[in-house]
Amino acid sequence: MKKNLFLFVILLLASAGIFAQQAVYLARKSKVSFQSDAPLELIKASSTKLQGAIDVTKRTFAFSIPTDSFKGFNSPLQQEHFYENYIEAKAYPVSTFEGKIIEQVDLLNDGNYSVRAKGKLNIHGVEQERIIKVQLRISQGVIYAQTNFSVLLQDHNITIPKVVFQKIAEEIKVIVAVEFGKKQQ
Amino acid sequence: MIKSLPVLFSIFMFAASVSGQKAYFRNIRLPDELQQTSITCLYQSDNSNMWIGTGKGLYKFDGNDFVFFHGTQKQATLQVSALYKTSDQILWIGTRNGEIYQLEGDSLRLFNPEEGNPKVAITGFASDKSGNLWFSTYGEGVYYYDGKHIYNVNTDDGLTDNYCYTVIADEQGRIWAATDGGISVCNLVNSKKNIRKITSIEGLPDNIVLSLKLVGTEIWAGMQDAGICKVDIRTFKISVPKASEKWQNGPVTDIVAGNNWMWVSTERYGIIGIESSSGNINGNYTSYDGLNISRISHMYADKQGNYWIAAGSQLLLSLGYDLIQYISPEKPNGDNIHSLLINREGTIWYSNDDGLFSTDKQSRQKNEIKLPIDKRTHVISLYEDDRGYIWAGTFGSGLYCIDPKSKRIKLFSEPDGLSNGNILSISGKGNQLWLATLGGAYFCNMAGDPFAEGSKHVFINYGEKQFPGNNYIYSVFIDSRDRVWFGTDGNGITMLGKGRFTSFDKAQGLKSNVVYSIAEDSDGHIWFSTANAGIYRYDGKSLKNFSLENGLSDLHITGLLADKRHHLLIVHNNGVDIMDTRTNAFLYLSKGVGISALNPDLNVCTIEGNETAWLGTQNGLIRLQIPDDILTRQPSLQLSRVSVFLSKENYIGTHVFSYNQNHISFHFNAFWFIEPELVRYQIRLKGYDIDWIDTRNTLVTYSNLSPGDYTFEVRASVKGNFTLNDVKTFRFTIEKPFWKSTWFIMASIVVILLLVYLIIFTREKRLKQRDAIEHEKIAVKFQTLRSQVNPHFLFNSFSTLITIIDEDKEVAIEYVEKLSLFFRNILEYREDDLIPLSEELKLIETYFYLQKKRYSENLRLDIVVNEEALSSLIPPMVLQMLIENAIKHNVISAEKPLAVSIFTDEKFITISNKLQRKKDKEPSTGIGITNIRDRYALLGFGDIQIVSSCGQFTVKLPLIHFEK
Repeated sequence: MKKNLFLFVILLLASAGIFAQQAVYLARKSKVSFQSDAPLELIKASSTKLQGAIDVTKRTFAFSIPTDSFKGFNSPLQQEHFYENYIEAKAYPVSTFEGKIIEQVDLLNDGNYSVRAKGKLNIHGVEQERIIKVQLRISQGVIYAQTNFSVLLQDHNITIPKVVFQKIAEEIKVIVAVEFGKKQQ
Repeated sequence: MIKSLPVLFSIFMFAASVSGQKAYFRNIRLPDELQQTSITCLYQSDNSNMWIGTGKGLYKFDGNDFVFFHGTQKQATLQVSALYKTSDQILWIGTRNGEIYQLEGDSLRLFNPEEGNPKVAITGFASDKSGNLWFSTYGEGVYYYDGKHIYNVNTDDGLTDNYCYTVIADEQGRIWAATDGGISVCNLVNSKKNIRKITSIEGLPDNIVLSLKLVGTEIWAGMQDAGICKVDIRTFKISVPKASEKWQNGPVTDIVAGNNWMWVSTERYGIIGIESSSGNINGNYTSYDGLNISRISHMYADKQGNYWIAAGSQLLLSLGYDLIQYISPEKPNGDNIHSLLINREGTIWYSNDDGLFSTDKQSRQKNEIKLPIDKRTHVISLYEDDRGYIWAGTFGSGLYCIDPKSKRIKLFSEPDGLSNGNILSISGKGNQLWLATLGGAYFCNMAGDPFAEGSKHVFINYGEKQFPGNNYIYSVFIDSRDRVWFGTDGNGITMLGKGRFTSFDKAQGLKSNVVYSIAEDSDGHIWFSTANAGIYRYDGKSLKNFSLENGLSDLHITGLLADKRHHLLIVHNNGVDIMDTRTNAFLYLSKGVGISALNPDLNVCTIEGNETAWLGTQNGLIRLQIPDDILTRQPSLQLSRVSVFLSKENYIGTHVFSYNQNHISFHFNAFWFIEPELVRYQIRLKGYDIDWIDTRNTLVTYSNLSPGDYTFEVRASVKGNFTLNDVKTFRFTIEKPFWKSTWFIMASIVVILLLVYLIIFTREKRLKQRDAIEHEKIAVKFQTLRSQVNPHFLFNSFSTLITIIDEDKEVAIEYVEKLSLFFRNILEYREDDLIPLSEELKLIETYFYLQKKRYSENLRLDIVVNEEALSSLIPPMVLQMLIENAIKHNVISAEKPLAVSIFTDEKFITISNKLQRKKDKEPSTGIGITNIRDRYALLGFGDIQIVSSCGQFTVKLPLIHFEK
């Protein structure tokens, strides 16, 4: 349901772009990785399945990533734990972030910008409003976005059994790099 | 005789000019580098430093000095736009470019959250009830910080506008944000943003709200074009005061509120004063003493009752409308007030050089009451009786009764028994009327309306009899127990109670017999002032004197006033001392708040209601709100730094110093912004100073402190009455150097004892060893000697000799020579510990020669010795003894010859022979082998080895080599 709804939002943004003179940029390449620097075990994984769009005139955005698209765990067992016990990928198939850029920057102009994206981050079915600092590089109609931010497990109701707690940090560091291109007509 | 009652009450109407009200401002001189910079914000976190944010950085002001807050090169020019201190003692500094800094202690650091800092100016900070820190921005709405993350609230969330001017918290911990689109009241309900809008739709006169101030249960909002309005924080009801109707004063930048007054600062028209109860404008200041204060960015109420005003690059300090001087427009250069009264309707009655006037409180109309007296005769006393009649005593022309309603007046003078017309003071209760004159006291029973036809009131004089010698009476006062008190010129204070006059004068311990003013405090104690000996308190039993050393600032006291909240006001030439009669604490109002050189007439002061004092001075009238927080309005003393050898490090948290950290400095300051230059300190280092030391410095250094326990104490006072103020203390210990500490001395003693013991022990051991060696040596000598004089040996030798003499005379001679050589050698060597092996070998050669003669071929000696071994050492006679042993214990015959072999290797010399024991053992002395072993052991060059096996008896002796 949620996934469908989200795609709908993205489509909506995309279709709005038709009327707003190609104002919508879609994610073409992406890499989302996370890392948990726990005292005992480092958990690391990444995904390239981020979908998303930015409306450069309204400065709004929406992103979605399938929670089961993360690869590169230390062991298949760790991956299984991650999907089944922590992120519960079956119950919560997507994580999303949608909102608006706070700064009044013109995203049609080439240049480097440091902006803050204010939006609702939905992980594990729990929505939290967040401000995420993003570095933007805009060059010839391509927007490169790069950010890293932290997610507190507690904020998203992700509970870790006490025994395993030492293995997973309370705070997960997330690194995102996305390349956006103008939506093809 | 009753004088006629012509209506001489003529009324002159003046429109009381608003500019007649004058507040006092003190200009604080800013550092030179700030002369061209605007002050953007003011903040006082506790009762200490005032923080001053400017376009050129952050400053701290302690009343005397400005301290610039250095950061890095970049921070040095930070444009401060907002200041706030959270409960964790961190000062938050918002800047024009959106960066936020934190100042903790002396370290300034950039606040760098994961979410990044805003890109627009920070305009204000506030804390909500959950402890979140909110800050407003000019363009990005408001943010809040929960200690982990920053969250944003903007128009998307329902904020009235993203351009915010300030945020404040109300008493329920909700955050009110002033924006370009109205007011937004924000709070978090279960982490959900909840915003209530207050805009023109809700009745806000103007949506652009620039400033907010919480006053009681209302929030006052200052707007762009519509002046001010207030919002009830419970009902959100908006009310607009009269002052805001037809507001012509432009944008309101800030609001401060006092007791029934408000000051509104504006961008162009300075300060607008507003009376809170009526909502009317009652003052306007655009310039003061040549300073242009029309552009005001910020105002701030500190914790000592001062109002700080940032007007461009000028910083001013004021008591606001808590202290107002009324300057009459027609007499700007001085208006000497001779008498003063506020009647029950609030009308101000006063007299000056021009006559008697009354000013109505509401209409502000000034009326002149024309009395039929000489122009140079002044009204010097005023009193309102129970009927509401005003009694005016003149200086030389009798007493007038004035009915303010019917506007009639009536004179009482000599015909009425008032023989002295110089009425200095009037008092009364019920029908009693008492007068203090230069001719004693007068009493009159006023039963019956004095204005009634045919009424007759007679004044009775109390003169020479009651006030002998000098019957000048300066004041008369009736206390709550109906006792009448008279302040006299030479008889001290006289009390009339139960029909008896009682005097308190020098006989009762009064230092002065001249009493000017009398008042009764809320505990029923009578206070009176004297000509030059301060004031006295009479508690019904005894008198207590208060003078300069008790905290009075001036002995030229011209009036005493007591309110019902335990305050005594002592009016003097240079201001007012307000005393809390329970604690005897003082608040001094004088030059620092603009009242000095008052030179008031005697007893020209009064209390209106319970909180307002009025003083008549040579410069007109002064109205003063009596503060109810005298105990907090005291210099706020802080011991801020403790340094060692004047280093930068602050040791305030350290209480134990090492013996070489004995150069200790204390930095303290008493914050007293009204008149910082009046603050005095007393310091004492318990354990060093015997008594308190007076100082004006805020730094004291003690050098070369010897080890011990100390307590540093400092106290501050404005007027030298230190005993009332709290003391800041700092206990510390300077440790003894380690070599003086008990444990070290103990340990040293133990070590020394051990050493001595060890020396004695080793010496003892060595001596014992030496003794043992000596003993052994003697034993050997004895043994050897004995062995040599062994009768057997001699007998055998002589038997041998006898046989040889018969056979061969030549050989016999040689034998005797060898025998004597042998004995000479023994004598020679017995004193030595060691002899070379070569010598020993020579000895045994001689010995062998002697034995050979006896045993001939049956005894054989084979010596194989290395060249090197010859020089090694050996105890004397050892080899000889071993050979002797071998001969002694073994059978030597033709069938069983005995061969003794001596040979050396690297370390040992070995003597070996075949075991063929005799059947009849020769008695053994038992000394031989044991003796050798002991000698080797004592010498310490290794042990001998004795092996008796396979029919061989072998002794291995270590060869002794000395290093070259």
